[in-house]
Amino acid sequence: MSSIHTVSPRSVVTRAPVLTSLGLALALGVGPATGQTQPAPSTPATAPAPAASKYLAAGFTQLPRAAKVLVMPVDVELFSLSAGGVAEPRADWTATALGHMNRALSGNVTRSGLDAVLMDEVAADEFAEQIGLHAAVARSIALHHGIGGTWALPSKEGRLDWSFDDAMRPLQSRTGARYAVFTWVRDSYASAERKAAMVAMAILGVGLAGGSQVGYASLVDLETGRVLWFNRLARASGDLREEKAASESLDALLFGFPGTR
Amino acid sequence: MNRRRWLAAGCAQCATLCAGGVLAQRPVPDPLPVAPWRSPQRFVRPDLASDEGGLWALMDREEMRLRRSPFAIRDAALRDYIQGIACKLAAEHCPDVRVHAVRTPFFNASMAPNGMMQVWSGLLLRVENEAQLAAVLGHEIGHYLQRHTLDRLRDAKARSAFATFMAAFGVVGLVGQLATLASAFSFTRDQEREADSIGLDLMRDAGYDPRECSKVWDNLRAEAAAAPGADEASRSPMFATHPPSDERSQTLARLAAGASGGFVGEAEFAARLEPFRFGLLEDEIKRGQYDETLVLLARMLKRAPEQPDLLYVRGEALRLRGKDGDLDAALADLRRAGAIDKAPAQLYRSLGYIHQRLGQAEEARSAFSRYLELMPDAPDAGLIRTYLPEGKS
Amino acid sequence: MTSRARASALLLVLALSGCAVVSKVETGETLVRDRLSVQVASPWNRFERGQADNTVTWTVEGLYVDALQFYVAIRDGELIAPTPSGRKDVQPLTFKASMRPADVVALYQSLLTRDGSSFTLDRIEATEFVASPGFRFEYSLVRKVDEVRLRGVAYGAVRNGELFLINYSAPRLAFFPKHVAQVEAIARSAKVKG
Repeated sequence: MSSIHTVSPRSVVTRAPVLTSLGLALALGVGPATGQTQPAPSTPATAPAPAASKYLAAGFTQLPRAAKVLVMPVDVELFSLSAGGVAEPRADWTATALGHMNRALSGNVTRSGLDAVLMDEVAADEFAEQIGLHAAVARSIALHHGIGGTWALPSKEGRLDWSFDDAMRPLQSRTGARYAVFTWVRDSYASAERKAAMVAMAILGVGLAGGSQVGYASLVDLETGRVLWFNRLARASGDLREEKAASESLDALLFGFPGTR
Repeated sequence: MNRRRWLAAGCAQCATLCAGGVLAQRPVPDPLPVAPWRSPQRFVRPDLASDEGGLWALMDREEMRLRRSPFAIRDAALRDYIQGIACKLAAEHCPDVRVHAVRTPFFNASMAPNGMMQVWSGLLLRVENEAQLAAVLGHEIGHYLQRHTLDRLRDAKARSAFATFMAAFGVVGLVGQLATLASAFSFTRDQEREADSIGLDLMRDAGYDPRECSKVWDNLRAEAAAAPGADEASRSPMFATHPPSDERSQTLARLAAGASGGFVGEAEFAARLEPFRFGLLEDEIKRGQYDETLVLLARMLKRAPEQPDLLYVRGEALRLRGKDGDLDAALADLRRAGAIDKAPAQLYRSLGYIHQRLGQAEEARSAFSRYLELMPDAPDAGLIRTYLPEGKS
Repeated sequence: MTSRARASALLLVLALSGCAVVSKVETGETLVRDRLSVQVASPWNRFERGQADNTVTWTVEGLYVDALQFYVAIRDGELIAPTPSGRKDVQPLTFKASMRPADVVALYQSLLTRDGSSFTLDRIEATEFVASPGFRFEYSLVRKVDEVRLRGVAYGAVRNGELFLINYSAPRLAFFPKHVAQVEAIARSAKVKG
């Protein structure tokens, strides 16, 4: 439901439904001043993640070489932040970002020695229920595991421990892929007016939030349903509108993505 | 094909502004400038970087979601029927209009700048004939042809209500946000007048009886008035975006007054809706807003007094509301329904519950038995069986 | 889903103010709201209730996925959920002690469909709950806000004029089948104290 996910706290407060609070919840990770920045690795994102990684499911570290990975249609939306802090969707930016992200994502997956299979939007109609279910679970993981802290679910004991059981098998039978990568990004950029307002307010000693980039990416084993890897992104930098910067954003999103054996 | 319509003719009759109870009375305005209305050329997808283009692309995304939504009504016959009406009305714009019927028990229809039209099932339940359906679709097409949505978007942006705007046209259509929507997003009076006027034109040109138009709004207002307290805009998605007023109803009635003849299509519409009607009535009852439901059913029964499904649903609404006198009125409706051919079996369950409530054990058992005879595999059959003494089903 | 929405909104406020938000439900016997005791055999997470909410909520996978709600000793005339402020059109969801099982289901259905979600009752049967004549019902729900298809099961009973109800809902794919057996066990173990 991209249309109701904005990162402007003011906009979120006017809407009651719980799931829009994802925007706020993810943005909570950004913090009051600037965001907690994901380290932008200079090494490829496929470098093996640290042991006992928060990003990986227990007992899982690597994918088999040349494994077939289904790249789900990227769910991305870019916004322009108006002077008043309202996030206005920008379809032209979104269309550009979509192109950059799909290319970067396939590129990353292929460079890790995996066989990337793209799923297009029309084919995805068939799996609407699974895709919708994944989004709900990903929100849960982002909140309770990604942000964690006061939100952590004690029963999970700090582990990435979520599974779809056999619900994802239809995607496997349809595409022949054993794994799938899902990505979701909401990104806002301060318009010129917003930047002017930020400067003006800063002079008065008031900090206004600029744009922010929030998102998540997950790797799911389509046969067992296990979420093998998950990363949450929440920072105040990154630009998906330019190819090179989008590539960097993708690397940040894929931080800790498992290597291949 | 260009049409000419002198707006002044319509607006000479807009003598008073009746502000729907919230704003103060304003002085009578000068008549709007006389300008002919012509149907615009078919719209071309605008540049992605423009705000209209951006909106268009967003709507394309929403349409994709709508295609996948569990709430979309996928019955081809029904969709084709509504699409056919929209097409007739839209004339040369027909290829650009795509109708999506959505299973949501509220009266609402909307049209996005990319041609996506949504019709909610609550609307299908409430219009009385094909002409009334055409009236609403024509009105929305009027907004589309005049690009009113884009205007509203520009205003909404200024008032920081953009997200609310998306809620109105997106698939999600959050019904709980109506007050915010009304204050920030609703079409202006001028836009409503234009859409009314154009909608009537389209109806006339497509051969429908324009006198049906004002009835739709009047019926809707009557239903909204049934719930006490809050103003209409916060009670109805349609009114949140299309502010109602006495003035509009009067204008519509007067504009259409000269008409004679024109297709009404009561029987045709009823036949098309027939396979779905019971399900839609059940959706309505499930809302739990019995005062409004009863107003709706009173109107429906006035036109068709011997319809057993309507009598059953009204009986249920009365039973569930349970105010003084409701149970007796419910009994009357349910008994009447039971005497008519093809009455829904659920009425016996309702009778059973009422008799139970009134302490009439024998009648209750008899009604429940009948229910189980007719629907032995009902979801609540197990529960109902416990209301019958052992060995007596 | 409305009560879940409210719970989440309130929890956000709590979290921001640094209060403990989630706690672990230990296995063994647990008392809910001082009146309802249940036996728990697998790990659950409990959300502390918000100020205006009548339910206690547990979850295994997180609030956006599954929720086990407890309504404990709701009295005659009490609301099962607060009426959204500013909405005078919406009928208040008042429990009446005279309600039959079907009436309680209708009440609950009104709550769940407030936001436009669609509810279908799949099954209802009489059963013992909290050592009283009660009912168990199953339902399907399409959550309006994100269109996820859920399944639900609930146990309820009106005991001495008070309503006790346990409701669990989770996506019909994977999650409901995974956890429903535990929920049934919890419900069947439920006892009222005092």
